[in-house]
Formats: sequence, structure tokens, C-alpha cells
Amino acid sequence: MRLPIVRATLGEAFGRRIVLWGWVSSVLLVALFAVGFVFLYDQISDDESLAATAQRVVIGGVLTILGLYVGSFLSAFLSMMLAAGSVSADVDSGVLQAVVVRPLPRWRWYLERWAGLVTMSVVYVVVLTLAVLLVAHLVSGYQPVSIAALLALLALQVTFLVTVGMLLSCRLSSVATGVVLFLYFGIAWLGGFIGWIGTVAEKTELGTIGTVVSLLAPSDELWKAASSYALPQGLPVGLGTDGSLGLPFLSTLEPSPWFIGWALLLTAALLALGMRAFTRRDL
Amino acid sequence: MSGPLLDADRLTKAYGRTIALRGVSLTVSPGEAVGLLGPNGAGKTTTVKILTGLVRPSSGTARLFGHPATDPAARTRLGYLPELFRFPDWMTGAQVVSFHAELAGVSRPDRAARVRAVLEEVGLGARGRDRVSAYSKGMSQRLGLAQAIVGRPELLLLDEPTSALDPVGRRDVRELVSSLKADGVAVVLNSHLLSEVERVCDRVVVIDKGHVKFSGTLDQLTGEGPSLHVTVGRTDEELVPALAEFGRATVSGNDVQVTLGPPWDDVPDEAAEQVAGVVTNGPWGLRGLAVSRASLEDAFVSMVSRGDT
Repeated sequence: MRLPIVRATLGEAFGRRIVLWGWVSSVLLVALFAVGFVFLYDQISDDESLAATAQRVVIGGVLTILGLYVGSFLSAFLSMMLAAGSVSADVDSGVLQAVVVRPLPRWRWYLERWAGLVTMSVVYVVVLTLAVLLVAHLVSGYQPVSIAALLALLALQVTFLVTVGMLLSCRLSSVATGVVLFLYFGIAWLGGFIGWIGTVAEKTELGTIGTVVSLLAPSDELWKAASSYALPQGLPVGLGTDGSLGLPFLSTLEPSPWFIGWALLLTAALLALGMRAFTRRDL
Repeated sequence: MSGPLLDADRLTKAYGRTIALRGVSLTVSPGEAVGLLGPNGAGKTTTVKILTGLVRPSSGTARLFGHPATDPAARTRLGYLPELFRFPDWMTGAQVVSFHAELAGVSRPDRAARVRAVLEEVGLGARGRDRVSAYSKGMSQRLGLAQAIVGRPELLLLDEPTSALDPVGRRDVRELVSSLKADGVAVVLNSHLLSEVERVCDRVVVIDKGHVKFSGTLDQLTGEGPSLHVTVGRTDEELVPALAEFGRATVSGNDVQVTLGPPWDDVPDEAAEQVAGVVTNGPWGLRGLAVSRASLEDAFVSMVSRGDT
């Protein structure tokens, strides 16, 4: 059998024009980013002094990371929307009943559905990120620390959100899943913000809260980990050694491999939990 | 396979405090057509869902082809039309059937031909390339049947297969089910349309309030076999003995009621031809003849309204 559920999931995205409208909105986003980037970058002095060079690197970096941040948010939003109805909508509409009665283990349907949604989300975030980086490179010669690590971590972020969304969709309605998933995403962002305040204000308790939230809801921390690889090469030494550039939405510290490992483990565990929940539920 | 294709033993199902099934047992043998009857909320659909592995029973066992119903291996030779279903409306009818053919294990080289054949069989041959979103309710129902039979099942579970169809569509489905049955496919038909069950099924199982209230042939349910209503020009004492070989005859005025006995009760139409011949060749004069059967509806309503278990 040649992954029929993956193909059906991808076919659905094309058939329902999700792909088309996703790309139309993304092209608009990248175009807007390009216009803004060109306009702001032109305001910076183009002399060869060290200060002007540093300013160009930092401003270029901040603008690029802002563009990536918006792209990451859109990708996360897309993956959450895709996952919200991934199980419940098909159960409620009656699409699923005729399918799972086929000689196909339920866990396999779930896994293939997950793979289809993850493929869509990952392709989206990768292409959008590369488009933003391309604009930044063409305008300013921008070179991030590591494109591969940046893409891998952004891909992990959307994969994690799809995994949580599908698990919730096994038990909740599509609307309830969307609401809970968005709140979860918001809590992760808030936890990251609290953690950043804790770092800047040197409040250990706030830092601990941020760490705990990032372990339970790692989506924001995954973005921050990705952003550390999106920083420009040649960042002035000493800048951001406290873990931030004075901005709550990025990190200059290399992410802990333990955290990445934890995020991978959590994703795998939630996927396994989802397969189990779907296999056991009445349809 | 020598044993039953489907074997459900003392199935119970509770949804919280609501008990949907209270020990339903059911078997279906190869080539047999069994009708599931019962009022709304009786537990028929829950039974079918347990048999297809969609719902897990609280207790009891359900086996298909010797495998537990939840085992995918049990469903390799199963066709199923759910009561409430929808197909992805962005697909064409042919894509839906092809998708199900692939899931059912129809090999890639055979798939296109099989899809075309099945769409023709259900009357959608000319509309296979249309998107499902353009299908009427009746066409969707036919598409549901097409996906159910595309894998050449040996056991077909049909949950209200004609609920959305017009009379012509119902007749088509009846003929299709009868033809599948003639090919040796066992059928479980869950339907509110008693006439449909009556025409297609060998046996009925009546479920009410989660219990099996009756399991047997239609004749056993209605209490007596088919009969002939004969209207003659005149009667005499020779008429009843002349018809005795066909069953029990009673005369009232110029009307004769012949309750068919064996073997004629299995072939009432043939019996009608023979009786017509006897009456026409005698001195009585044939004015009219009709085959009738005690109403299944009456027997069903009487059974489910009795309240006893």
C-alpha cells in the first residue's frame, strides 16, 4: 500500500484550495516584508565605519528575525488550523467511518494523517523561511548562522503543534480543539515572555516559571532556539551574552541539546498517545 | 469458510448510564441475507458499529471471518455502508471509489476497471468524473454502495442503504443486493423499510431496547406462510378438495383463501399458476387471483409494541 491516507490528506489540501490560499497570503507577506526591509535598510548610513557596519548587521538581523517571527507565527497558525479538525471533523461528518472499516489499522490511519499534515506544515514553514531569508540576503547580503538548524527547529515547532492538535482532535470538537490549541500556543508565548523578563530583571522565580512552561509547552522556546540560528553571521562580540538582544522574541544563546531532545521526545510521546487514543475511541 | 461469517455473542454496550445493547447475539452464514429490524434507538446501528469494529462492546464478542471485529484482518472481506456518511466533496466519484478500492486491497492494475464496473453497477457510470459536491443525496447513496462493494466483499453490512433514494433507486438497490446475494455474498441489511427487508432477506432479527426479540424467518415472524386469494365465478363442494394439495383452503362466498403449505409456500408464484390452472380447468371460473403474505409490518409493530422481552 502506497500511503493512501498521506496522499488523501495532501490531495485534500489542494482540493480545498488550502494550499493555494496559503501561498497567496504568504506571497503577500513576503512582498510586504521585502518593501519594509528595503525601506528601513535604506535609512541606515552606508559608510564603512565600524559603527555603521555593526548597525547594519544588527538592524538587518532584527528585521530579518522579525520577518521570520511573523512567518513562524503564520506557519504555527496554519499547522494548528490544519490539526484542529484533522480527526473530529472527519468523525462528525461521517467521512471516517467508511475508511477505518477498511483493513487498515487505526494507528496507521492516524500516523499517515499526521505525516500528511506535518508534510504540509513543514513545506510551508521551510519555503516561507527561505523566501524571507532570500529577500534579506538580496537586500543586505544577510547570512544567518545556520539555515539548516533554523529550518530544522522551525519544522520541529510546527510538527509539535500538529501533534498536539491531532491528539486534542481525537477527543474534542474541531472548534474546541482550535480554541484549546491556540490558548496552549498563547501560554507558551506568555511563558517565554515571563522567562525573558526573569532573565533581563534577574528574577530567578520568573525564569523558573518560564522554563517550566517551555517544557510543558515548548513551541515558543523552539522558535527562540530557531532564532538563535537566524542571527546574522559576524554579530559583534559581546552583544546579547545575557541571552537576549533586549527583545522578548528571540534568543542569542545556542539552544540546549537537552531541550531539543525533550521537545523531540514529547512530540513522539504525544504522537504515540494520539495513536492509542484514536485506536481506542468509539466512532 | 465453513462456520458463520459473522458471529456476535452476547454483546452489551453502555454509553455512560445509557445502555444501548443488553446481550445481542447474531450469526450470519455464507450467502445468507439477514434483516435487522427495530424501532429508532433499539440498538441496531450500535450493533452494526460493533460488528464493523467502529465501536467496542462493553462486554461480549464480535467476530468476522473468525477474527475479532476490531482486528483489521477481520475486515479484508467486508463491505460496509454506514448510516450517516459523507465523502470528501473535493474528490470525484471515481476517485472516492478508487481510494476505497486501494484501501480494500484491489491491486493497482485491476483498480481502474473495477472502479468503472462498480460505478456502472450502481448507476453512476456517467457521473464518475463529477465532483462529489455536485452529487444529489441519492447519488451519494449510490456512491456509498459502490465503495461498499468495490472490494468484492463476502459480507456486506448495509445500514439504511435506501434511506435517501427514490422508488426507482430503491428498486435498483434491491436488485443489486439480490444479485450480490445470488453470487454468494452474505448481506446484513439494517433498514426501516420493511418491504425491502421482506423482499431481500432470508431471515430477520428484531432488536428492541437493546434485546433481540426475534430471530428467524419471515414466515416465523408473520406466523403463517404466503397465501392465495382466489375469486371464482361459482363454488361447490369439489372446490376445496381440488385445492387441498396446495394447502388449507377456506371459502367465503365466491372468495377462496388458500394458505399455502409445503412445498408451495416456498414458491407462491408457481403455486398461483398451478391454482389458476386447476380453477380454470374446473367448473368454477377464475375471476381473480392474488398472492398475499401476512403483513410483516403488522407482525413487527405488534412485536415491538408488546414491551415484553
